[in-house]
Amino acid sequence: MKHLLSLLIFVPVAAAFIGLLIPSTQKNTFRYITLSVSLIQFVLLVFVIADYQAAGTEFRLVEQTPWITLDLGAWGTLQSHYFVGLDGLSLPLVALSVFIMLIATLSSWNIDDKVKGYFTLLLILNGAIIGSFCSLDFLLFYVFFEFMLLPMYFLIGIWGGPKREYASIKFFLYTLLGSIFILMVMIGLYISVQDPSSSDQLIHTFSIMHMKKGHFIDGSILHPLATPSLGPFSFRGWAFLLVFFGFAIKLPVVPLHTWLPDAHVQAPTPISIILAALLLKVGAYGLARIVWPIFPDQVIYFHWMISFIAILSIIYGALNAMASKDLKILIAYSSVSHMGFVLLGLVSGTTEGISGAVYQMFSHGIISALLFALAGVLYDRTHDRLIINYSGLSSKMPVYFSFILIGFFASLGLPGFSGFIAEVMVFLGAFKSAGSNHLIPAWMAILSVSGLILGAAYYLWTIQRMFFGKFADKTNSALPDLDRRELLILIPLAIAAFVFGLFPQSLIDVINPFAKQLTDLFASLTNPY
Amino acid sequence: MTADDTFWVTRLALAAWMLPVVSCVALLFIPSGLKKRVPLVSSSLLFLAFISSAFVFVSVWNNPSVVITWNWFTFNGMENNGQLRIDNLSALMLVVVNFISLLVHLFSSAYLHNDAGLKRYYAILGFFTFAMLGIVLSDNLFVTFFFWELVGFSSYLLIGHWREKPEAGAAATKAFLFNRIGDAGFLIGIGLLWAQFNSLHFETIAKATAATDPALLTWISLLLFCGVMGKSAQFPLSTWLPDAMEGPTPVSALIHAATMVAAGVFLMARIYFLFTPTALVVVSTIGSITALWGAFGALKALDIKKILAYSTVSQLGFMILGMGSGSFSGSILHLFTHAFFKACLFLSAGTIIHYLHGVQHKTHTHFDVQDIRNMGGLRQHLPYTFFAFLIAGASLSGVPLLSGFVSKEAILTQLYYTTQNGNTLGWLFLCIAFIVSFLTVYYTFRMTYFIFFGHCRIADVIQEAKAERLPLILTLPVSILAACSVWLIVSWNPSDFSGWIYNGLGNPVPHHLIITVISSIWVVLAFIFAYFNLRNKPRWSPIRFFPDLDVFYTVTLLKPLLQLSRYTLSFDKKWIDGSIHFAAYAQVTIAKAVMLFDRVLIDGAVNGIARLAGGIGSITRSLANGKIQSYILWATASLVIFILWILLS
Repeated sequence: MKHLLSLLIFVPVAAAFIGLLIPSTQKNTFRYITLSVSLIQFVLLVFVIADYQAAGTEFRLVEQTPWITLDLGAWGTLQSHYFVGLDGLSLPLVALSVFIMLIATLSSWNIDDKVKGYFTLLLILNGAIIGSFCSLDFLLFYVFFEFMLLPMYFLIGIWGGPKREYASIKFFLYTLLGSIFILMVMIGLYISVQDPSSSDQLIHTFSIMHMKKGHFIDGSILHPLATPSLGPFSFRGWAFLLVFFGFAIKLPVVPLHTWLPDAHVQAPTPISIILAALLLKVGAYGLARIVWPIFPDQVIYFHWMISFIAILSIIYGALNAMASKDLKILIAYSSVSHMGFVLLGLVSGTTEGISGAVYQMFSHGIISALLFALAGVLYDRTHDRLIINYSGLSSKMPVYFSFILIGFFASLGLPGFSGFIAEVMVFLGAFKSAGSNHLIPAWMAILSVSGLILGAAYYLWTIQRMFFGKFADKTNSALPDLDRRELLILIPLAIAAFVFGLFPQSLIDVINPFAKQLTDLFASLTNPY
Repeated sequence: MTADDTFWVTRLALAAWMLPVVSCVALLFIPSGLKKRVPLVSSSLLFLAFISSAFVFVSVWNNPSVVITWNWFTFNGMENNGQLRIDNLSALMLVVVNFISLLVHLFSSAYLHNDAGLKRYYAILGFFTFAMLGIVLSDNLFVTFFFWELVGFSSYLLIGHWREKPEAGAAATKAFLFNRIGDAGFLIGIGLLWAQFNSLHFETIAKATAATDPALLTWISLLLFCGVMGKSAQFPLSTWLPDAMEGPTPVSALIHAATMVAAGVFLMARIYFLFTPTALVVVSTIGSITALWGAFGALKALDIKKILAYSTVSQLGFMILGMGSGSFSGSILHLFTHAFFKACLFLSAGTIIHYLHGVQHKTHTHFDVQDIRNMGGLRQHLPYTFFAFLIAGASLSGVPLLSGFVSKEAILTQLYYTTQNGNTLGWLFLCIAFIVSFLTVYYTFRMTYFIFFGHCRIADVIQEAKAERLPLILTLPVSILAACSVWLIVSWNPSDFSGWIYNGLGNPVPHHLIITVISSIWVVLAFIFAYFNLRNKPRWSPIRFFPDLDVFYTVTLLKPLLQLSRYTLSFDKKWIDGSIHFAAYAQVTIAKAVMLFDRVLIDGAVNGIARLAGGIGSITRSLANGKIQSYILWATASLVIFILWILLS
């Protein structure tokens, strides 16, 4: 099939439009439409993976057609393509998105309020997320990127908890700020990059490929050899900072993370799952797809700052998780900590570190979805998530406790779960970097390991308080153990965490070419240190 | 070994490794109707595993080692890391682990026969055995670390087996966290090794170490040693082990005495080539402190399991102390003998606890069944247990003709030889080793004396209970382990440690008669001292002061850390969110100011102009009042003004 990726992106969007024609009283119809879209995407994904494995160069399943072409006379030509394709970075994330969307749909089954609007927004979100993971044109990426924002805003703001308005507006403004940063750099890159295919005419392009290959126009402001500077940094330096923080807000990094706990706590369970599993990955994806390949020189220049932010996120996030009184806030802060590992792996500039970072994106997607689904299970029963209100839950809900053990231990990096492979690869990359290219100072590599101890501390302490000891439930709710629907959500996630923790080779093989290419790019630049 | 042999050794070793995990998986899926069959199923699988490992041991011992590789995974030039090695060391451990695990499986079937979580218990026990054997067989630090953590995980679950006990949860958490702290150092060491050698395979690293900066090697080896310190409960990470006694007693025997805690000592033997002389001094120092700390702890403790736990800490410290002597063989030999006699002591303690529980149950009385102050004179009630306890305790104290004496002698001899090589610190370590051995005799004697001799402090209760005899399934494992505590298990000659195990381990030193003589006399002296010291005045705890490290850790580490975490969380709320809210309010304020500006000035100006125009209009309007006379008046006046203006200019 030729247009597999387009199908994957636009099937949910089309379904959303079809859904608009159906009266909003038919609640189950919307549920089943969304579910069947996810299943169709699953089937498509099988074909995508088969096609991907078949053969190909760097990018596979590429579709490219002109989208916007504007002749601006003396200003050259504006050119943007509908340009999608997959490589070792995007394939795992696209697969993750399809998987998580299916899980989130199942988890949305008990949403009973304004069902039509909910599922329509979910479908649009679905298309936008997959679209942004596939786009190879900056403008196209940006459109998908922005398209994610609005459904998310409404999904939190309408179906969220008591403080949903505050949380959704905070989420929206934070992310919008990042988007504006990214927009500025996108325009800067558009001005500076040309499509060299036609020599007689100046074609400004949004293609990430051209940006990555360094087809900069001589004398343009973002040309690597451009001298103009503004204050302490060159224009390129400023552009890097803008786009880095633009995506870092999404990641999120300390100190730009405070939207995350609020958004998570207020969002309904399926939206928390999507937020943690996929939306955070869009930030990391942006760094790996756009910032690192286009500004490698600046990554090297700012390596200390980036490493420091990574370490800060790891430790600060873990400390906050430890002090959190609410189960969902705890998990949200643990996400901050774990996404710090992604940043650390990326900045290492080594193959194992970058592979580990991508592996961590994938693995965190699965594990955080598992964790938020678990938090949702308790919330559904008691409408209370305060840790101190529970004790000895393991006696009442033994099956739930088993999944809590799986989720928590997977998240704290127990071998046998995917997080372990990812974190070990990031550590090895960090130490390799400290010993060879010096992008990560040795003391930071050493300090990052403390994230392991703190991670174990807050999770085990939570288990000790909530699940061990004599049974007590201050909310006085009925506490039935997991039902079938919940098992249907939790079991696939747990299995996925296992499979990618025990048999990592196939995923590593997919990621490795991408990581290697990026490593080579870093190695080719003269290291100033 | 022929190719055919290698084929069978490989298969059998994999069977010995995998059968326990087969037991674990099988139990997870066993229907709850067959709950009564759980111990039988898993014990038979363990029995098969033990038989396989015995075959492996017999064929590999003193033969070339067998390497097993499979495609697990690899990245960036790392050699494929599915690597296992069966040599003397791992074959020996394979047998020990499976053997003790089997006995503990058997013992548990009686000890926990009424437990609601029996299925879960046996499943985790099988999983633990599998993970432990993973460490034993591993030929590569990645595999080692993988199973290293899994062992910690199964230990966590088993310590916390009785979930409704809050202390069990706390102890499990503590054990895992202390292990994690050690593992953090371990992981840093692995990271440095990787950065330096681009490999985690033991052999590859061993070949490359010759050309490496010794200072770096010292750092790497000490960081890896952190992992050893966590798992083998070395000072200052030692306090989790006494707490871990909250778990079921058979678990304490298997995990917290015989196998898991010995994994650290085992790992040290595997990576011994990395340790520089400087690093070994540090190792010996840590070992000495631990050995002394544990021995004093055993003098202070009153809970029978805690005494044994402190004794384990002390013995582990003793092994680590012996590691500093330049050879790991003595320590491994001691690890081997210790596994049997300490497991025997724990299972005997378990028998006593089981017995007293039964007594309690029948008479509806309440007393602490683990407190040695509530025991005494039990030799009449539990003769078999008494006998086993006596043999194993004597072995622990290092009484001649028992295995503990032989292996202790190996360590002492090794330490003695280091002093002969001009190592002055060696004398210090040798002295400490002798002091520890003296204290060991003392606390073992004290424990045995208070439990089994003298008058029974709960005689009337026992009388009332009319407890029946212990089932065979409890006494059999204890008896087997007691039989394994005699010298024959390591050597034909009870005074010479270089029997049939020691020399197979590498870097052996010859036997030295003077150590045999001195250590025999020393034990006798210690016994005499203990006897006269305790005979007439039963002092429950011979020492008053024992450093409570936990209080220290709580004050210096835990509380500050929690305080810091609370501070960072409030920093989030107060400063980060605060500044965002401030920015938001500032923006809203500016917006309001702009609005005000709009209203007052711009709108004001517009309105003002409008009003002006209106005013002018109203004036002019009043002029146009529709009266002809006034029009003429104004016209005339205008005309006059106009003429005047022209004339004057």
